[in-house]
Amino acid sequence: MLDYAIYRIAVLLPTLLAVSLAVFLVLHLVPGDPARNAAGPDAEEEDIALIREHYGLDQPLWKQYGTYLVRLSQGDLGESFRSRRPVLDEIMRRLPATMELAGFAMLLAVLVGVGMGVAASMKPNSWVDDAIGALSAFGISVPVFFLGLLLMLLFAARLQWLPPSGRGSWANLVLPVVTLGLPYVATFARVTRSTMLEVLSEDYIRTARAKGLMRRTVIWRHALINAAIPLVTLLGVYFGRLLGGAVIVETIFAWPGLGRYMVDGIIQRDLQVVQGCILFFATAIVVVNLVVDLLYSVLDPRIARG
Amino acid sequence: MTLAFKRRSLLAATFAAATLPAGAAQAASDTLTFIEGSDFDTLDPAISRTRSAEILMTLMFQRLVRWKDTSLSGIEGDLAASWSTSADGLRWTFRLKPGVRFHDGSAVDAEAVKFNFDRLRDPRLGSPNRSLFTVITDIQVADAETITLTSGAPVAGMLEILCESSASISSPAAVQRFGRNYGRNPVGSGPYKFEEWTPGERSVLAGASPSARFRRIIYRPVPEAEARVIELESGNADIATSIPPEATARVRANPRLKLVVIPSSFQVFFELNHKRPPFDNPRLCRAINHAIDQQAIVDRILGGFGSVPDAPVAPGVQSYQAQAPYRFDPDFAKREFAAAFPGGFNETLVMWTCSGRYLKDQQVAEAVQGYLNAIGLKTEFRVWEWASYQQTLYRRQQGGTGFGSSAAHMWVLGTSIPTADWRLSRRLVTGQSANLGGYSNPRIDALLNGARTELDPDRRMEAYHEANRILWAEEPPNLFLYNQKQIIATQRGIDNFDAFAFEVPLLNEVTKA
Repeated sequence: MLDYAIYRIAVLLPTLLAVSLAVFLVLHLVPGDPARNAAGPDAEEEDIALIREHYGLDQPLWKQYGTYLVRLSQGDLGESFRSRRPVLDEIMRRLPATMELAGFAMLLAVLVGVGMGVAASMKPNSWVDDAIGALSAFGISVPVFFLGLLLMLLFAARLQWLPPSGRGSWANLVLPVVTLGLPYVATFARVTRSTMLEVLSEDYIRTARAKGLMRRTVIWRHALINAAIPLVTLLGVYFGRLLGGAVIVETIFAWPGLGRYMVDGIIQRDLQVVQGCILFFATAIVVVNLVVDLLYSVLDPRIARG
Repeated sequence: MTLAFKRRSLLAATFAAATLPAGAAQAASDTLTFIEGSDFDTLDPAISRTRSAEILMTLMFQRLVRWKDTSLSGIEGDLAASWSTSADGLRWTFRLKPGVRFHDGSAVDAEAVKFNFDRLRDPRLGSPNRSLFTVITDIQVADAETITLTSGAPVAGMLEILCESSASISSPAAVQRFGRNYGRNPVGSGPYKFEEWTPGERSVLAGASPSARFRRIIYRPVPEAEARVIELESGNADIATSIPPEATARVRANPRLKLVVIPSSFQVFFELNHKRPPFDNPRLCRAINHAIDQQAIVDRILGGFGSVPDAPVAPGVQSYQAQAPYRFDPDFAKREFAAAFPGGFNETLVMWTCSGRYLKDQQVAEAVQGYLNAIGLKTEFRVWEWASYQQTLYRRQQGGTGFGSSAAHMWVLGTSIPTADWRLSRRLVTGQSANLGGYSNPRIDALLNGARTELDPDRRMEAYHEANRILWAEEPPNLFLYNQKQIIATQRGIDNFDAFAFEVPLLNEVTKA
């Protein structure tokens, strides 16, 4: 188990190095002059040249990457062209908002999704199952921006129960979290249902039932634990997608998170910001997947041994 | 059933309770909540380039001088009590109002003003606004209330430069104390002082002088246009800007809201490439302006929220004078092309546009393509993403595309610059930095360069008027498309809303019932 963990952590560094190189190259090959964007459309050539020099954008590419790596090793993600502030500071400032959003959306997906999946698997083909099936089909297929505006129109403009956008009280959280989480609620419900149906037909479940265990114990202790592995896998895979979805949700609901910061950075060609954000997201996804892999071996010790 | 009902109303009540504090605070008449599409990156006036930041900087800072009103009819003292110019026009001496203090308590004196201009001109700061201020070659402080700015040549537009928001005077003590973090901790001497800024969420200014009409002004960036309208509908905001034309009917139908439409200095046009046929011929530059129906574009594509250009600059730009609009006459345009090219113009016109940068830019460009095809011109159309578009248009190298060496015949651009010199000279004087179409006209060069050093305001304005007449009726540099309008929605109780044509509102003038 320990060896496995150490091995996995050791692989982390080259992975992130490769990510940093890829991000760097892609961003520098994308058309658009960052210095001109920083200076604005009405700027003089002289001012633009000054900015180019200030940020080393006139240096050869390999040199820029070298400087970038050296700084990175010191925990410095560079400075935003527009705000002239350290990118890491700016990321840290916005991180809580994104974590709050993604965390609660994930929690919603797991609790409600798994609950719905279990409920549906209890009585397959009943009206409960059908209703949950319909709801999850809706959740998977409705585009996030549409759902977001729909919820906003209904709960904020029409009923006026919830604030339409922004961050502040917990009421502000409801709409963005539901918007972001709903597709994953649906996915989790579907996966839970099918895995549960499979597990429930296994021999050991029949044995457990035959022993006279309570239904609840059979479902939660015996069946769900065994159905958990594909769910944990999903958790790892979807964490990345959830962060991607957060970019859209943050824009719709004026949520002051990292996703919006990155999108603004892309539009403005604020290289250091985009670079920093992508590297940050990549690190987060790699780390979450590491944790998920390690969790497997807790859930199923055969994985670490094999 | 009753239980379910009770639960539901309980839920509703909880939601209501949770939203109440925010709603109640914003309903108070001493707090103004203002919503815009974009956030800013810094509130340091020296390095900021964003209009959204300018809205707040106008409230927090003072400059030496400022525009008297939103029609730019004149300039009045802000920090300066009076000023005078030396006979040769090289030295501007300002007397500061005594006793003015920054919000941190330090004095706004001549040294503080000098500190700000020195900082702006310092290449180490790398300010994108620097070149505006490099015309100032020397700064002398005579005493605490007297400062003299010297330039190498007379600068007729000196006061206009000093009206720019980048010329705002920051507290030197705060700049030194916060260093790189000054943009997050701005300290000025305006009617409002900076209180807090959570990027992407909100900024709060607090009233700091008796002239402040509100105890608090809250600025919230809400990027999604639809969400801005909903914020108003749900009573969460007092004023929201950049309302999309398609949402205006809903605002008008809502008895609690009202719509305010104000002219913008934004004019959108196809810039023409004057270095290659057909637009190296001024006659065809005029002809093409007859080929499109601008009124139809304004009515059908912009939903009426624009106006047909009647001058090479929009109303609200210094030196604007209305002239006779181009009449829509495609047959005339066709005849003009036939006269210039007896065998027909057989090249394909390459048209470029950006998408989403200006109001309905791509749709308008597509309509123009239709009009040009209708007079028998072959066209090719390309849509660009803004950053690559900009880079391509400004590329200077041979074989690149800027400055008349462009691969395109015409490309969509817009500008909102309100001062005559900056707006016209950079785009139209031969060889200037933003003269992308390679426009070169000795009369225009003489008029605009002359106006730069003409210290008599009337004679200077006359030169601009004459230039505008030539640029409109004789040798137009552009195919003029439309003038934008600012569409703003407010709660019914909001009155006196006014904004500069360059889309900076005067929030302290607003009244709230």
